[in-house]
Amino acid sequence: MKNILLAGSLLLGLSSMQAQKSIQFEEYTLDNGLHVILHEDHTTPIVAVTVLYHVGSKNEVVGRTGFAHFFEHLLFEGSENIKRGEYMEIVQANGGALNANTSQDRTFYYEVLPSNKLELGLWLESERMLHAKIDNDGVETQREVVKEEKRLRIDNQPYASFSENMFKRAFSNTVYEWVPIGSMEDLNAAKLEEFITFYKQFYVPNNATLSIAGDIDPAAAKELVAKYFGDIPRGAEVVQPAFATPALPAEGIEDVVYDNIQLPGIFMGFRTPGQTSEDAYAVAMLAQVLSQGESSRLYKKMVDQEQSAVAVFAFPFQLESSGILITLAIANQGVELDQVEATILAEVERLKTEPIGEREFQKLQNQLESSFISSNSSMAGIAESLADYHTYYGDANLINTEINRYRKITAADLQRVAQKYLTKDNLVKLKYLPKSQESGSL
Amino acid sequence: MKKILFALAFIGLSLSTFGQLDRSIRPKPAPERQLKIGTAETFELKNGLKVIVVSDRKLPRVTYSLIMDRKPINEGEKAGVADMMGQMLTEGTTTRTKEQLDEEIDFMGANLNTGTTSAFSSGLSKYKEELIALLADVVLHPSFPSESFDKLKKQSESGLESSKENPDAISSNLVSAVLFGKDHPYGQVMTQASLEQIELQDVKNMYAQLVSPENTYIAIVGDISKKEAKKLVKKYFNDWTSTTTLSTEIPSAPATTSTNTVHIVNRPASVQSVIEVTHTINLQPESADHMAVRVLNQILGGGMSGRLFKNLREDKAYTYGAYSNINTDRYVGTVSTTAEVRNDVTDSSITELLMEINKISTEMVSDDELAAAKESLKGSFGRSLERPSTLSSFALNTYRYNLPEDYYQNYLIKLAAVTKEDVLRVAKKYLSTDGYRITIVGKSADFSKKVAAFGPITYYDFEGNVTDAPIELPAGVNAESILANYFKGLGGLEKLQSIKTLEVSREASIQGISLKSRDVFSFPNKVYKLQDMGPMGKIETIQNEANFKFMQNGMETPLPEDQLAAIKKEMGWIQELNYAKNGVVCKAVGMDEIGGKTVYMLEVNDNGEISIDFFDAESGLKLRSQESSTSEGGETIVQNIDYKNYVDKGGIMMPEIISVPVGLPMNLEFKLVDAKVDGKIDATLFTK
Repeated sequence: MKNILLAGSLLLGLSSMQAQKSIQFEEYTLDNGLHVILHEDHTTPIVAVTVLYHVGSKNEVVGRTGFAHFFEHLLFEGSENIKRGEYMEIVQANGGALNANTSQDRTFYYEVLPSNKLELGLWLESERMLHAKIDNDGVETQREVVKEEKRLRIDNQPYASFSENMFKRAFSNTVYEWVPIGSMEDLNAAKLEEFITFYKQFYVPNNATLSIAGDIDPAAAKELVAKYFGDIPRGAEVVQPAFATPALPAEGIEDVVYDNIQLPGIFMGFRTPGQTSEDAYAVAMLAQVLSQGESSRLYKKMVDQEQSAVAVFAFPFQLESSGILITLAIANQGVELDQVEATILAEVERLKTEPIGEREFQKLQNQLESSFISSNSSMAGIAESLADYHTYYGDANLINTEINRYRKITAADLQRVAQKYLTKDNLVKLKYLPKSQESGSL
Repeated sequence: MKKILFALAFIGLSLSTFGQLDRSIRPKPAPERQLKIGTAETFELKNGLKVIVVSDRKLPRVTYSLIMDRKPINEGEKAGVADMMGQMLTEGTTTRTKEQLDEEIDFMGANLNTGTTSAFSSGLSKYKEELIALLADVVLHPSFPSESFDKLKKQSESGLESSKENPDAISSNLVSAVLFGKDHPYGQVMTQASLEQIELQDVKNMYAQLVSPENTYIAIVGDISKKEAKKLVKKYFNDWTSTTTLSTEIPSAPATTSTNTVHIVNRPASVQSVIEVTHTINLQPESADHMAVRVLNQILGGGMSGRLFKNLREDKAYTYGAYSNINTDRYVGTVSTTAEVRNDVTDSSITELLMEINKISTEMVSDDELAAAKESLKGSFGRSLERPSTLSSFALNTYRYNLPEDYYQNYLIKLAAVTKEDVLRVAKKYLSTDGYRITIVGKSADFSKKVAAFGPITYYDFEGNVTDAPIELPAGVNAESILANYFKGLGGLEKLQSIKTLEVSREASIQGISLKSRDVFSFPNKVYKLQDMGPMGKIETIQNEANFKFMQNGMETPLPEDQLAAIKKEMGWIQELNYAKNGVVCKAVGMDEIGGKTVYMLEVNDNGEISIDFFDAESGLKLRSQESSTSEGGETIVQNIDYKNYVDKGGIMMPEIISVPVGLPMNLEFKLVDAKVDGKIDATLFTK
């Protein structure tokens, strides 16, 4: 016996010396449709308790935008057993941290607690799912808070309206037309019954994933999950809205926005396929080529060499059913915005006409390897990744294998994808100009 | 069989009744799990460089953090030079150009950043040697290329331009200026003026004065052993032998006030006010009060459970967030409460912030609050251990601040020992002994009258320089409205744009000489202007569609480009109608009085040339154009063209008198002699 134990501990010792190769987890679905994922990690005595609801701004209707994000706020207001304001207090008074975020496609809630308080975390999230408090007081308060959030993040910030303006034009007349924060008019007009209906429709276990990561004993955790979530009734099936990328005019869309800025900026977005499509990976890599790191094509040329831009980025805004590859630049002093625009478009053309060289291509793969390691380094991060992968792809194990999808891509793929999507009829161009240039235009 | 089934059924039944959940009962915690604080290993090189190693094999990555402990730098007129030096370290070394550096770093998917007194590199542990080699290269052998310097200077200019509109950047400048003043290192921010003073040599001097292995640490965290780390550090840093020569004069703490004062930067476009209520304190990191202060800060404004958040957001919905910060510092610490609130509750928000500060300094916190805050800090401490960088900063702080070796092991014990009395004591000591500086960045027209109640107000520009109070125009008055009302007053934009022909003659006389002017227009693009000075000659300027002609005494005279351009611009009838086309930008800048009438001031920026036009608030008509210039003696010379006594000519209002300064004691007064609107004109004038 002793020998086996000794050998066993040596083996354990060995494996703990090697860097973590893959993220182990268990998953299963309750009778009521709730999908559960568990990841065990005893490095730090903490646990992340997270719930992802497959509801976002795309599940809203015209005239009632902003609901999903509003709910993110409302769900901190309490429940049948938790008084107004207590939710945050309970978590913090128990040494935890909490937050939530909403996208076009989903709403994600999480707490990170000391690991001996797993049951508390599960109780809190089950209270939200089963009978959150949706009442006038909460609605009135959070309406004002959301208004302040919009003022803080968008209205008072130079350039920040670009995403609202971009999506409005890129996806007009579709569910991606508006952004999660929605419209203040819609929120003001919404009635309490409508909020309650939204809750009953989307905040149901068959539309949710419970993802737990940290210092847990899986067997005990499963029991607790059953205890708190087992008898939450299943809701009606949630049908995700259909989506088709609308056509743009042949010459694309171009518009001017006057803002409280000193330096003009340009924001150009090419519509791209949704994140689950094969080509989405190539799109992400194209963004890397353009602007990841200071040796990237746009940065090197525009910030270092030509000094035409004070900042330049390309990033793939990827959603479930579609995406936009957004390139943006703020012009350096005294530089014409037209020049900045032309330089970016020339680099986009290069992606289509010249295959990328070997060393540059290898760089992309190395960058991806590095970022995969860092993105799954926290318990909350791992829990979120697992939930995302399950919800969008139906495969939580992508947390370990997604990098292979990138590794499969060739330089020829990058060129093909650039030719296919980075075209004029797929392009929305926004020029941000200082307000001072607007007056006197009589 | 029956017995067994019965027994099973009984068990099943009791299990299900046992499992009936009462959700109103809040679950109790399981037994607490132990926090493990890993140990750091340290060693020192002969040149004084101190190295801290934290092995963490969980992920194949490694981070190197180089930190130089330096006293605050007084940059004086060259504020920003130290930052530039920090940025320039990655602009090239004696063996690598920036392009090469960027390429090497990006190829590894790694990161390399440098600052004024720090440098970091991180990436996959398979590159552990490359990462430290690059770190050493940029810190020890920067080349300071002059093209890079020029580039960074230009970027900094653009950055400063941008920050003019960024409310957070403005607030940061304001607070620095107000708390510390420009003579103190902490109050110095880069401005256009200070940027202009910085030369490449200054950057090189700063490097020589600042960068050395003295009081310098490297923290290494990740997939690496102490043995490997030692080998690498010695290989790349043993030859580092420079010494620092920076003056070690410790700045004196800025003066405090006994009453509250108000400091405003006016940002008319703001829909939220950025508020900070703050003052300086004397609190070092190693102070015995530190733990009690942390608890105090947590209760007052640490996150979503803070009193500030609960009051200003959850209760009153003034804001998305309100928080407090009590900062320790070797020289000057600060207390600060912050919130971004909608304009109309700026004063109410300040009232609440002051009330909460006062309340926590006079009344003992409750047992529940104390327990919750301590639990929260404990949890936050625990969660921070998830990040390997936490352990390196623990080790760094122990070294730098001469903390006892077991400081962090004992953190939780010290935390648990804090009492309500401790919290009240430190609240009184640090929160209530001095007046507060109330800083606001926002649309002052919306709140300035109300915040005057808090204390005397001083206004600042976006750089933190004291400036005049803004002139507040009535709501709705702006460049667009002024120009729109001007056109309306003249007869209406539609009328103005519908006229086909126009002829206006004026006459003035001075010192016996009669001057006649005659303007003939065939809209849109044929103009004939005559200035007839009798025996002194005559000048004709003619525009015939795209062609321009300048004639003196009947002879065509070619003109240099710039004069021609200036004349072209003057060929229009009402210049304001062409502002957009000519790239002229306007801004409403204030109010004044001319002849007893209230006028709005419009700053007109014609591609760099600035003048101010004055428009009657009631009639909308332009009463004056003003140009200012500086004489050789440095005096400001102001010249006014006045437009007096408007009369109706064919549905268009025109000034009967245009009074022009000509450098004589009296002005030249051009009287309106005749005006024909849509009358017959002599078309041959355009083809002269």
